Amino acid sequence: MTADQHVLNHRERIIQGKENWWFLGAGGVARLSDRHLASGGALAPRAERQLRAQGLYVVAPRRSYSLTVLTTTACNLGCGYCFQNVAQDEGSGSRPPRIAQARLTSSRITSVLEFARRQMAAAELEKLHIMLFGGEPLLNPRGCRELLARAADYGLTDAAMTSNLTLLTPEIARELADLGLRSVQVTFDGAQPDHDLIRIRRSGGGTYDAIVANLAAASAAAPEIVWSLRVNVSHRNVEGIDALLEQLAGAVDPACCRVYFARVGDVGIGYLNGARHDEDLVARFCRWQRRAVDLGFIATRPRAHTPCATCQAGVGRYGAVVNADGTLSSCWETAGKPDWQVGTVTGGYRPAEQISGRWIACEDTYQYGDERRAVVSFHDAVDADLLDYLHATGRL
Amino acid sequence: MAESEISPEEITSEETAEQEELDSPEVVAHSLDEEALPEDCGINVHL
Repeated sequence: MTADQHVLNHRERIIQGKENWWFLGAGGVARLSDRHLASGGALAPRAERQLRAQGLYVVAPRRSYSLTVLTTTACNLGCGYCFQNVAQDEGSGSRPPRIAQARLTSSRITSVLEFARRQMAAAELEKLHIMLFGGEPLLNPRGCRELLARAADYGLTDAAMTSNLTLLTPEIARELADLGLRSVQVTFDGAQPDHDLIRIRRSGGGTYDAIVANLAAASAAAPEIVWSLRVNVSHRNVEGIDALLEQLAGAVDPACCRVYFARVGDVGIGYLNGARHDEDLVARFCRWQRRAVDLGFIATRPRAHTPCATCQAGVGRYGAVVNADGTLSSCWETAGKPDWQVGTVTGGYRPAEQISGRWIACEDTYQYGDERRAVVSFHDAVDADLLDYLHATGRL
Repeated sequence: MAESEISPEEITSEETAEQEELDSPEVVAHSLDEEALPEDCGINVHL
């Protein structure tokens, strides 16, 4: 990834379903038969013309600036795989050393929003989207509230949050929804017994019951919020994921939740995952995502390779990641890590020649172990199966 | 123009268009209104 790439290039995908091929473009999804493909699997010229004519290559214009803000770098959990750990915990296992502590203050919020105003003016964008991030953002609830409240004067249209949910109350959910919060991502680490061994408090103890109870109460208090339930998958919890889905469907309203599954990667701190991107894992992912659809969770349609607005569109053109201390990074992965700073909200981005080696994109630092080709094949197989199922059940 | 007066060229053209329609990929979903946002770009957030 280079720092000077300015165009949001989508990459089309052609993946093989059971009875047909699927074309995934920036403008939508189409079913293909063998006659639409040339030798080698590429799209036949006539089929490509037809897809272009139907708008499948059309990229929606960028309308909003995406600002990710760490309201604090602190976290009350001690998950061993967290990308913000700087090493494994050699002691109890629940207190891995983390990135340096920082907390968003009122004066820093002023700097952050003025920075956003300048960036938005440069890109001629009038709408602002904010992602509340951490650490655990709700360790600084005042910072979350103040940031969203004051962002209303800067074009805020909606906000998202990535939270572990252990601190979320119905009152905070209602307050943040009134300030524009519309989506929240929370992670589960398997069925309760597995989750409670992995997603642990720094003070010790599991979190499953608290997260589920808080999710149920908050979703009732703020029905406009869509909840994205990320399920981390590793050899530690793979056998319990089927049970997890049933547990979740019985505890929360699936109609306001998406579920998606992700194999946990290693960001370079030695977190091993014995679950490989092989046929067995493909079969499991396919089974889980079909079951999630059957249980009534919101289905997320697979799509073309879509660039991240923050890290894959040039230096801060369509978005930025801001640490609580006002430093900028190219991506959420490197936020709060001193060797990866690319500027500050007061001074702006450093010259391109100084930051080109620090400009990384989503997942650039992950070490998957498998060959990259195996990872791509894995995702293609899983996505094709979901498209097959959504189509067969009239949900596309 | 009466139906019988349609020229062979026009018939061929219509048949070709019809065949193209039959051969065309079936678009099952459009996504022009979607915008890629950081939280749904496939990131591997574990918090």
